Amino acid sequence: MEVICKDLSKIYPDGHQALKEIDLHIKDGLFGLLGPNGAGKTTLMEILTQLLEPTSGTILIDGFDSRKQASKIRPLLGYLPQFFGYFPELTAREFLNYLGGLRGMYGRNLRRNIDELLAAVRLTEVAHKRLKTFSGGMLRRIGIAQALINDPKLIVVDEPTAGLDPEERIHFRNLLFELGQNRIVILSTHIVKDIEETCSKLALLLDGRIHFHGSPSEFVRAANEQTWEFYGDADDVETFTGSKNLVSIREDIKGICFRIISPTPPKENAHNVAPNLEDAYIRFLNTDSQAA
Amino acid sequence: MDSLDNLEKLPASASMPPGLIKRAWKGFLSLFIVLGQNIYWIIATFFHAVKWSFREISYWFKLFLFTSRLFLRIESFLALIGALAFFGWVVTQNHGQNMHELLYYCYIYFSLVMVLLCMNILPRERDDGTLEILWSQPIRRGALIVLQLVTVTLWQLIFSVLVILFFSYFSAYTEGRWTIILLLTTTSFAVGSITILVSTFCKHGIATGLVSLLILGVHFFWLRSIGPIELFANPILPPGVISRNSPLFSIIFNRIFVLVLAGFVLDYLFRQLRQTSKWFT
Repeated sequence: MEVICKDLSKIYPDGHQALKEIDLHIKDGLFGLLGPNGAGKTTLMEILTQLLEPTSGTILIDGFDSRKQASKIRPLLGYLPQFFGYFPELTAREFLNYLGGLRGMYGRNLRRNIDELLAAVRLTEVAHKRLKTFSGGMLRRIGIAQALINDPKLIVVDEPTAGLDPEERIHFRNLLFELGQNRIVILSTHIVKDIEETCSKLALLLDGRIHFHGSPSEFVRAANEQTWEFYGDADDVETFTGSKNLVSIREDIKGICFRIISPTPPKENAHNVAPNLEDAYIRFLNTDSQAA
Repeated sequence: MDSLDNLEKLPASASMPPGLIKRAWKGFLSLFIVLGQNIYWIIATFFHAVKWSFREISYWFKLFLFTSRLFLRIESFLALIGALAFFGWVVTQNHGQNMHELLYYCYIYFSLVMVLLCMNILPRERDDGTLEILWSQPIRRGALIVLQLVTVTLWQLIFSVLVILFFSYFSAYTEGRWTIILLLTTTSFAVGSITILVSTFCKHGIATGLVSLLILGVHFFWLRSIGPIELFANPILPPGVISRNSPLFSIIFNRIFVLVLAGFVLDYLFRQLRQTSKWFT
């Protein structure tokens, strides 16, 4: 199973170009699509899930062309959109039953799948309750359950952890990691931590273009020798707060510690530290978005 | 010479029937033997067909039930209360004393209900975010919309049967009640498809409802017939009027045109649904 995007572009009727000549090659495993809000992630997700048509370019999913063989691609797909709409009057089991029906499933197979999925997303206890009584985390879990109902080969999840509490977020990340073992899971997010914890490959989307495509370690390498930490005072807080290069600011027993991305030391006492994914993300955001 | 030739051939043709019967009997026997030899496959195919039909029916019935549940919202309750108020008024005012009049009242009521139930099919799905989930399923978008439209029409059919049975039980006029149900169902289907098409332009439920009512109102009150198309045709004769001509042909003719209109509307609707950027921007 693989997903190949070639020269993919999308221009909306209002003239806004959301995607510009995207080239991607995604193989089995968890793939992270990172980018700030408005970068074009959702547009790309919607094109992958056949909701939108690209203006130009091609997508091959498992060898099928998305324009000519859409009916063969759809059964391979599971999708959890960013704003997950649900039918409030249906119970969790009914909801899965309905969507399973729309995917052509019925009878014992469907019932068994629903039971297994409800157990996997820890919703068996509340399977008989209406969706309108569910919390945000529970709705996300039922959302991922519906995406998995026919055991798809490709799962697309758009901002799945947005609005979840830390415990739910960790559980959700683990669930996605587990799912990525034998299929492609494309995880779109602007939360770096989600990708850092789970993905073996990632792409960075900025202003509709792919600025990086590779492994997280390669991504982090881009910020080598450019990540600095130093202890400063109240004046530094004023100087650096609001700067796009500031990654973090924290207070400990030694004083106020600043973490900055910069090609040169931001202060004399600054020392180089090992970068992480977030540092690399900030580095790409600042340099590449300025260049764009 | 020709006539003589024909005369010579006569005895031969007279001897044909026994030969033909013999050959037919032989053919029948050999067919029976072939059937007997393949009886297993015939029975297996028959059971397979029955199983397939049962599975398909139960599958679509399940989707029908689920779709029906999704319609159990405020509009359905309004439709029910509206039915009690509207037909209560018809009864108390003695308007439904014959099927001719009743059909017009039914047209008004069921068209209003269809507009009420169909005006939100697309706008609500889009506003609630369920459109993304539904349209990413393997089932075609057009099939999903038709499934919803057929579900509403079937409920309208059930409801119209109840209304007509109620009125035919309490009034002296029972003639043409099944014709009324046929007319109401086909008109409701066409009204529903027009309303859904209007919703692709208006994009808002209330606006869709108002525009649809305007179009249908103009048709009902002023332009009852557009060429051969007449959504609100009433072939039931008023009491006391006798006609020697059977209305069957005109009814069939009229309904074919109504369904053709609905077909064109749905075709255009499917084209609208394919314009993806319109729905997800």
